[in-house]
Amino acid sequence: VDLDEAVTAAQQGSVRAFELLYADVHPRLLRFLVARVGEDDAADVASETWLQATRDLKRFRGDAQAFRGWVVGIGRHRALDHVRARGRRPVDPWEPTALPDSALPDAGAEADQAMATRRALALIAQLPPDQAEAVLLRVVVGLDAPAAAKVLGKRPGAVRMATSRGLARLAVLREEQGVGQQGVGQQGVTPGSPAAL
Amino acid sequence: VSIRRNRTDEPLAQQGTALYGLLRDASAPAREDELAGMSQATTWFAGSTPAGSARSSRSRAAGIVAALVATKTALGATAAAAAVGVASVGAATGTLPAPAQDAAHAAFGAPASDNAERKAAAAAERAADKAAREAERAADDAAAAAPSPSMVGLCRAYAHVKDSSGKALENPAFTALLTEGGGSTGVDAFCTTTLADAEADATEDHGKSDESSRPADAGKPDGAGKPDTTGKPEVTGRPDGAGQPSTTPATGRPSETGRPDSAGRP
Repeated sequence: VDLDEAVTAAQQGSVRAFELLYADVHPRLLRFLVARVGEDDAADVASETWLQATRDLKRFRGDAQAFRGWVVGIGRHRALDHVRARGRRPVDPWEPTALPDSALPDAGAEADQAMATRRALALIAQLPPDQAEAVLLRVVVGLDAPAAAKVLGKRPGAVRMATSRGLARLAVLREEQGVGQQGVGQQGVTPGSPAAL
Repeated sequence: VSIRRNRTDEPLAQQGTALYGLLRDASAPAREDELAGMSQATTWFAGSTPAGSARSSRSRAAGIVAALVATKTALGATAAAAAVGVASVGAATGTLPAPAQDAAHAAFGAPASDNAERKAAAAAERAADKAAREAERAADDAAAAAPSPSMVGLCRAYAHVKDSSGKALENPAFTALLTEGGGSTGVDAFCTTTLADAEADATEDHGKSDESSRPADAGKPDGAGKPDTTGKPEVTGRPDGAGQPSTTPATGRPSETGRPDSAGRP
């Protein structure tokens, strides 16, 4: 499916095209928001994001990647509003001992993957905000540096720097907390993508 | 559905493969539970596109409110957002009741941004168009309601025979005036207006438009509809000696005070 064409079709009113775009963007948006506002509030902030995005869709101009950045950019602003309104840290500190693997002795591979994803996002959430956002936009949302820079209102060079520092810091955190050393995800991931970053 | 990354323009492999598993987990394929909100978003989408606009704005607003209420976060904020959303949708589509429309415009009319300014300009343009249409319609109505010659004649006749007792209206010949005036108390105002209009028309027909001699607000009886002096035209240019008591004319001309004596009667 050509998502670039889906963007155009959605703007012309195609529900099917919109569903394709939603399926492409929403999981990325949701994970970005989980790392920014926490898992409990991410779905609500995502709903606010889509409410605004569907309302303003006619004004959007760009391809599928730009659409991802546009929607996540809306979500980022909603998340910032949410954090300000709550007057707290963007996300509660991750407690790696709170949900040990033994808590899910019978969980299947999908549940294991879900847990691994949560842990990875929680670890990213511990980065300084600028680094966390850069890593999330690059790794999770899948934007290139210029597109991520547009979302963040920064220069691409600044985004590259924040990403590099964030990954370095993430490696330290991973060592300290032992998260993601094995990596559960095996399906559907672009081969070698993390290393290619 | 998988979360697939674009090939990036910057190799970060120097970070080594230590983070491979972690980043792979963060970008693992989307799970079904991560698409739970699709139907809700699709509903919003359908309500915001031309194809979905056939649905009434009311149903769209109701959908937005219902969806917002369904969320758990910051009920106060979402309630306010819902109110803003409904008001905006309603005001934009002109579907709110008039008081609500006014309130919406009052509340959100301040141009806080370029977008708001464009909306305000568009609203002003629409209002101007509406006013123009209403003016045209009023003109058409006025033309259709122009007093017929028979009414002018009846009013002239009535002006000559009326007295303070009002008994003249008991004459069956003036039944039509009672009907048009909405009762005995409205006949004087009706006739004042009718005669003034007839005189104005006659002036225009003869190409003798003399604005200074036109009665001011000749067509507007007072709000109560009573034939008191305030509702009568200030007949400055055409004193009718046949007994139209008037207040002091604006032009300073002496008015004929009091009721006409018998000499004024035909």
